[in-house]
Amino acid sequence: MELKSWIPERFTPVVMVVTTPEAEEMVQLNNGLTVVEMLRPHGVFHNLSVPVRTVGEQSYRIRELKLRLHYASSLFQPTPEAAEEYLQGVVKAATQGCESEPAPDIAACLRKGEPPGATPWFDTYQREFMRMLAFGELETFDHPVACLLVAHAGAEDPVQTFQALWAGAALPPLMRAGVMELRLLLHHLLLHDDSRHAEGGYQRAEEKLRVARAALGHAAVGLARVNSGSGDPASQVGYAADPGRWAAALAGAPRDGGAGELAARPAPPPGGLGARLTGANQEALAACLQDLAVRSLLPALEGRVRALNHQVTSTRRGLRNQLKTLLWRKASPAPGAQSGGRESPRPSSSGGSGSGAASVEGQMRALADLAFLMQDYETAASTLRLLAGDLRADKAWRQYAAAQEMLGLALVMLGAPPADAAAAFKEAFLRYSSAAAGPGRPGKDCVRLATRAALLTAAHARSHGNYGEANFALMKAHFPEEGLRAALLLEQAALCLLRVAPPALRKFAFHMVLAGLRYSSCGQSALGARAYRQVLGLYAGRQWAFIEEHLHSVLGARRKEAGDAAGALEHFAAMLVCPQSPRAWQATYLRQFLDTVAAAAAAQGESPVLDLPLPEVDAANVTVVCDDQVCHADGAARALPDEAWRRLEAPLLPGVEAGLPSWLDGGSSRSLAALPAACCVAGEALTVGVILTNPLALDLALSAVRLLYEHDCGEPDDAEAEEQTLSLAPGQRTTLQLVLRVRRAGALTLRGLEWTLNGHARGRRLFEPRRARGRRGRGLAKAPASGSLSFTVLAPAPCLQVALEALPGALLVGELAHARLVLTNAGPAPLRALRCTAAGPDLHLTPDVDGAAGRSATEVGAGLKGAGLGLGLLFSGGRAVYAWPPALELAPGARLEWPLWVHPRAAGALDVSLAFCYEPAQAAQEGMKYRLLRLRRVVDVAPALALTATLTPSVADLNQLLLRLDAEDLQGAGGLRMRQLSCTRPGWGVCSLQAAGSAPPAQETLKPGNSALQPAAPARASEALDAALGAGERAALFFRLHPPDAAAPRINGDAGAGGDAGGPPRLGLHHMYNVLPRGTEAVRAVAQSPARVLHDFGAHGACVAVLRLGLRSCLPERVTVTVSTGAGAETAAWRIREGGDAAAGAGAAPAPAASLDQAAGLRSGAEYVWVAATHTLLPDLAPGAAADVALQVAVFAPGMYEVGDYSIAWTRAGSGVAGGSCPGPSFLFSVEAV
Amino acid sequence: MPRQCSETCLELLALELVRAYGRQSRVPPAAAVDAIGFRTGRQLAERYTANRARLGEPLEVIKFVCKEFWMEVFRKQVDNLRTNHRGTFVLKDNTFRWLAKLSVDPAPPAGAAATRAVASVAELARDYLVLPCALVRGALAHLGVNAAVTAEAAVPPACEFTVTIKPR
Amino acid sequence: MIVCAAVIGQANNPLYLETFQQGSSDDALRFHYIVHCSLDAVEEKLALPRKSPGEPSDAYLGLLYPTEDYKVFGYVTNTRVKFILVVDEPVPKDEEMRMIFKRFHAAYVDAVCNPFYSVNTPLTSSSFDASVRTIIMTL
Repeated sequence: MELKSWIPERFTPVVMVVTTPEAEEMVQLNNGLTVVEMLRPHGVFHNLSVPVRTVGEQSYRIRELKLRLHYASSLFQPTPEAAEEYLQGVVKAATQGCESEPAPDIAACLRKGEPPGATPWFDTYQREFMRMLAFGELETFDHPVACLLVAHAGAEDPVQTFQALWAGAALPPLMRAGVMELRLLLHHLLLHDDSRHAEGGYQRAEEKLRVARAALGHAAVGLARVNSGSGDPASQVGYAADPGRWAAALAGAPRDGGAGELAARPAPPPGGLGARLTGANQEALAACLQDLAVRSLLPALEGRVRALNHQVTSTRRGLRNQLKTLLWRKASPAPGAQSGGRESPRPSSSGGSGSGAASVEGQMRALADLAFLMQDYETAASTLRLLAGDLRADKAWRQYAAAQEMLGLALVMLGAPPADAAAAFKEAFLRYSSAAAGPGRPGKDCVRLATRAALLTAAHARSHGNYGEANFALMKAHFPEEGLRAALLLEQAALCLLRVAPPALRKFAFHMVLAGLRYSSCGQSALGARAYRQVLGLYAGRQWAFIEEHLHSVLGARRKEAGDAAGALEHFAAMLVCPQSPRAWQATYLRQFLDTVAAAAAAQGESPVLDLPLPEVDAANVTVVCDDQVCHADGAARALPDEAWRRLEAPLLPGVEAGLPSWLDGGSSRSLAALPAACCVAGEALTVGVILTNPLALDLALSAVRLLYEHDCGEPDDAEAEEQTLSLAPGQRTTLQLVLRVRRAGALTLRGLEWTLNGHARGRRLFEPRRARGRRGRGLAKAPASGSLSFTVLAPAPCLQVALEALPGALLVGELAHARLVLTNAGPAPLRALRCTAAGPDLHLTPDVDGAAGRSATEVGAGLKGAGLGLGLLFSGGRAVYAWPPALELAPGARLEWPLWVHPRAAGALDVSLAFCYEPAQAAQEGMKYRLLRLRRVVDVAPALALTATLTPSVADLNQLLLRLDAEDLQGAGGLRMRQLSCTRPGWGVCSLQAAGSAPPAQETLKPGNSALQPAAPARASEALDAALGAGERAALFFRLHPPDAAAPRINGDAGAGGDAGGPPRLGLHHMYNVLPRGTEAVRAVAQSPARVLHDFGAHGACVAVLRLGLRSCLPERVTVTVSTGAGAETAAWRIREGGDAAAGAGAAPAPAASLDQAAGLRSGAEYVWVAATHTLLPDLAPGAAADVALQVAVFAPGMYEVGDYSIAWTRAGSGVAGGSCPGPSFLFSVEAV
Repeated sequence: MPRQCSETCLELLALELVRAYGRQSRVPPAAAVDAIGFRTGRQLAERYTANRARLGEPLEVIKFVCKEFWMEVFRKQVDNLRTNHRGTFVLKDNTFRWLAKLSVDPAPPAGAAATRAVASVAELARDYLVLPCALVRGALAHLGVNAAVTAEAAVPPACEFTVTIKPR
Repeated sequence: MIVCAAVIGQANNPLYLETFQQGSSDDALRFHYIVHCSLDAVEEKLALPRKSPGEPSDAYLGLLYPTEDYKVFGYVTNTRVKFILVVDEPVPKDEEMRMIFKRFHAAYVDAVCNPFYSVNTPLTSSSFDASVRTIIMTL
C-alpha cells in the first residue's frame, strides 16, 4: 500500500446522504444500485482548479477532489465482532485458489533478485481493516461535512419534502451524541424518472426545481434526470458501459451495516448494474455533484476552517494552563456557523477527557482534520503538533496517539523527512498499545488502533525501503493481536525480512511457519498450507530433519483433509525416511503413509506408484551379470580374471591356428569385435544385483519386487521378470538378485526397480547408472561409458552347460580322483565342434570313456548324433586341446558324460578350470560364430605323506643297491596304506630285503603278488607290498634294487599310497625323480672271502688262504684296474695322482672294520703275509664289466683275521693320467686248526 | 594439564604409518596417509584454536598455522613465511622435526656420492612429507581456508611447504 | 536457566540439539525452529566489521535475538562451528554466559577429537551429552 497515493483518496470530505423512499425505489428497481452507489462514481473530480484560502494569507488551488458519499444511517463503526467476521470473509474471498497455485520458490526469487511482493490479499485486507475502523470517536476526518438530501422530482412540494426528510433523517449515533459536528452544509437533489411518463414530464420537474431553489437558495438545489435508458446496452450511449465503474462504487458491508455501508443491497436487475442510466444521465449527476463540491462545499469548508482556526488561536492565546482551559470549557458554546439547520444539541463531552467536540482540543482536532481534508497539510501538521503537546500534557493518551497518527500522515503528505513521520507513527503505536492495556472495550479498540498505526509505520518504512523497520513494527503489532490478523501481520513481517540486506532467509522461514500456525488455527488452513509450502524449500536438504518432518506432516495432513490424497502422499513419503526419530514415530509415519495410500487407491481406483524412499535403493550401483558369447558356469568361474581365461581359451578359438592375433597380443582383438559391447542372448537369464537398505528401526516387508525394463518388441510375454518377496530387518542391507529373461532378440534397457511396500504401497526407483559394473571384465565394462543399462539381445543360440560331478571337495597330494563331466545343451539350437582345454597338467581327460572308443554315441550320452566318440588330443597354443569329433552334435537337451582324472601333485588349492568352445550346428547367425563356456572349481589339496628315498650301494653285491624309503603320514588321519613300489627305470627291479634275510621293519607285512594298480609309466619290475601307516607315524622300508646288466645306477622310484577309509579305496601315486645313490665309486670291490679255513698247522706251518675279490667298474669308460697287495698298506690313506678326479674313492673303506675292532681275540694285522703276486693287473675293463681277482695270504696260526692292507688303483683307458686308488675292502675269515 | 604423548612414539608412529601403507597395495598409499592426515589436521585445528580469539581472513589463519599450530605439532615455529599476496604462501622450516632422523646409507663412491645421497634422502623425504602436508591442509580447511599444500625437502631436514589457496 | 543447547556445524547443519525442560516433542520442534532461525542473527553478527582492524574479535556473540519468551545466545568457534543456547528467565550475566560457552566448547573439542567421530556428523556421543548436561546444570 503506497501511502502517498492512498491518503488523498482515503481522507476526503464525507457527504452524508439522506433519500426519500420513492427516489430509492426509482433508482434501485431499474439499476440495481442505491442512490449513493449511483452517485459515487461521479463524486470524483479530476482537473479541477479551485482557489482556496484556509488560514494562511496566500491561497492555493485544489486540483483533485473526491467526495465520500454515505447514507446517514450507515455512518457508524461496526462492532469489532462484526468487523472481524467481515474481514474473515474478505480474506477468504481474496484467497480463493491460492492453494492450488504453486508457492513461489523463495530461494530462486532471491537469486533472481526479485523477492516475492506483498501478498495480494493483504492489501485488500489492509484497506478493509482501515475502513472498518472508520467513524471512530477519536478522529473527525470521517465526520460528514455536508448532507445531500435526495428526493423524487415527482414529489408534490419539494421544499416541504426536503425539510421532512432532514427532520426525519436517522442521524448517525456519534452525531446524536454530539461528537460529530451537526451543523452541516445542506444540499438538495431532485431526481427525475424518465422511464415513468407522469404528466408534464421534465418541464414539471424543472418547475419544482425553480420552486425549491426559490425556497432553499439557488446553489443548494440540483435536478438530474435518470432512467432515460431503455435498459439495453445500445441505449447506454455516451459512456463505456463498463460494470467496473459501478463495481468500484460498491463496497462490502459487515453483518448489520456500518462503516459507511448499508447491510442490504438491492438485487442486480437483468440489464446489469446501471442498466437504464444513459451517458446524459450520468453527466447530469456529475454536474450536480460538482456544483455541490465546488460551488458550496469547498467555500463552506474554507469558512469553517478559518472560523475554527480563529477560535483555536484566540482561546489558546495566553491560556497555557490547564485550569483556564477547564474554565473555558464551562463557558459559552461555540458561535454558530453560517449554514442553516436544526438547533444543535449542547455537546456533551463524551469519549473521555478533552475530546468534546466543542473543547479546545476537539476544535483543534476538527481544525486539523478539516485542513487535512482541504489538503492544507501545513496547517494540519502544525495544529496537530500543538494538539499533541496539549493532550500529552493532560495525559489523554488515546487522543494523543490519534493525533500523532494523523500528524504522521500529514508529515508524509508534506514530504517531511521520513524519520519524523516514522517517529510520529511509532509514538502513536506505543501510546495505543499502552492504552490497550486498559480494561474493557476501549482496550480492545486500542489494540486495533495500535495495529493500524503499526500498519502505517510499516507502509511508510516500506515506501522508504526500510524493511527492517517495517518487519519490526509488524512483529510488535502481531503480539497483542490474535487469530487471522496476527497471522497476516506475521506473514507481512516475514516478507519484509526477504527484502532486508542480506535477506534473512531463516528468520523469514521461521516467521512464515508461525504465520502458518496461526492461519491454520484460525481456520485459514489454505493460507497456512501456502505459508508452509513456501518455506519447505528453505529447510529441505539442510539436515534439519525435525523441521522438515513437521512441515511435511502438516502439509500432508492439510492435503489429505482437502481430499487430495495423492498430493498428501508425496509429503508423507518424504517423512518416511527419518532414522533420527524414535521407533514409535517411524511406525506412525509409516502407518499414516500406508493409510493415505489406501485412501488414494480408493480414490483413483488403483494405488499410485510413487518414488518411494523406502527401502533405500542404491540406484547408482547396479551390477548386471549376463552371458553373451562367453558363458560362465558359476561365480567361481567369474572370480578368475578375464586375462587368465583368455590365456586358457586361446588355443580353443577358431582362427588362432589361422594366424589370427592370439592372446599374445592381449586378447584385445578377439573375433568378438563384431559383437556389441553389452549383449545377452535371448532366452537366457540376465541377473541384476541391486543393493537395498532399510534405514528404519522397523521391519519392512517388500513384495512383488521386480525390474522395470524396456524391450523394443512389445509383446509382454516376450520377457519375464521374476518377482521376489523379502523382508528387511531394521538397518539391514542386502543385495537382491533379480533374474530377467528376454525371449526375443532386440534392444533391452533396464529402467529401474518396482516393489510393493508392506502390502499395498507401490513404489519404484529408477536406476541412475553412474558406474554400472558388469562383473565380466569385458562386455559391460564398456557399458558405463555410455552410462546406461541397455543391452542388445541376440537371437537364441545353443548354450552348453557342464556339470562337474563326483569331484571331491578335498584331495590328498598325489591322489588320483575320477570325476565326471556332464555336458548338456541347454540352448534351443544344436551345437557341434565341441572342444575343451584344461588348466594345468593335473587334469586329464581320458581319450575315450573307459574304452568307449567306437561305442555308439547313445551309450555315453543322450541325444548325440555322430558315431565314434574317440577324443582327439591336439596341442595348440602350448596347451592340450581335447576335441570331440566334429561330427558329434549335441541336440537341444542332449547330454554327454565324460570322465575326468584329477591328480594333484602339490599341496594347496588346485584350480580345476576347464574352458569349452563350441559352435552352433546351423550356419552361424550374425555375431555368434562360437561360444565359450568357462567352468571352474577349486579343490584344496592336503599333503598326504612325505616320502624320502635313500639309495646306498649294497656291500654284499656288486650290482645291487639298497633303497631305504622313509614315509610319514602327514595327513594325521591315518589309514594310509602303502600298496606298491615300482621303479620306472627300464630294466630295474625292486624286491624287498626280506628275501636277503635282513629283518624287515616290524609293522610291515608282505603279501606277494598283489598288483593293485598299474602305474602309468611302464615298469619292468614292481614290488607289491602292503604297509599300513598309522596316524602321523613314520615307517622305513628297505628294498633291494636289481640292476639290469648296465651302467651306473640312477633310478626313478615311485610309490603308491592310498587311504582305505571305507568305500572304494582312494588311490594315489607319489613320484620321486632322480633318486641318486649316496656316494659313487669308480670301482666297486666286494671281498668274497671264505668264511672259515681249515688248516693243519702240524702238517704245514703256513696256511695260504685264497681270497676272492670281486671287482666291477662303475665308470662310463673303459678302465685299467691294478690290485696291489701290501704296498703302502700301513698308510691306509690313498693317494691322488696328479689330475686325479674328486670322485675317486669318495666313499672310504666299508664300515665293518670299525665294528670289528672290539671283536674278542683279534690278532693284529701283522700276523699274515701276502703271498703270490703283489700286483694284479686287470687291463681295460668295459663299463660295468665285472672281474674276479684271487689274492693269497699266508697265516701261521689259527684265529680270526682281518686282512685289509691292499689297494685298488685304476686308470682311465687312453689318458694315463686320470685315475685313482683306494684301499680295498678288508677280508674277514677265521682259520681253524684241524 | 593437557594429555601428552611421548614424542618418540609419535615419530615411530609416523614412520610405521608410511611403511605400513607403503606395503599394502589395496589403496594407493599416499591417498590413505593423506586421508588420515587431513582428518587429524581438522581435529587438531579444532583443539588448538579453542582458546583463541577469532581468526579472520586467510592471512591470519596461515599465521596461526605457522606459529601456534606448528609449535604444537612440530615443536617449533616456522622459520620463514613468504607470500606472493595472490594466495600462495611458502612456509620454510629449516629443521623440520619429522625429517631430522631421516637418512640413507651413503653410497661408496666418494665423488658423486654426496649429491646422490642427498637426492635420495629428498626422495625418501617425499613419502614422509605426505602426512605433514595433509595435517596442514586439514587444519587450514577446517579453519575455512581451502588450499592445496605441497612440500619439498631439497636438503632435509630443511623443508619448504607451499600453500596455494583455492579460489572460491 | 538454559532450556536448549545446540551445536551447529560449518554448513549450518545441526550436530547436536538437546532441550532441557520436560516438554513434549513439539517443544523440541519449537527449539529446532528457534535455533535454526538464530543462525541468521549469527551471520549478521559475523558480517559486522570489527571495531578496529588489529583488535581480535570475540568468539562469544552475546544475545542473538529475543523470542516471545526466550533469549537466544550465540558463540562461534574459529572453525565456524556455532553454539546456540536458548535461555529463559532469569537470564544469566554476560560473563556467566561466556564461561558456560567456553566449557561447552571444551566439551565439544574433546568429543570431536575422538578418533571414532567423523567430522561434521551429528554428535551422538553419550559422554558429550553427559558433560553438556553437567555444564548447563551448574546454572
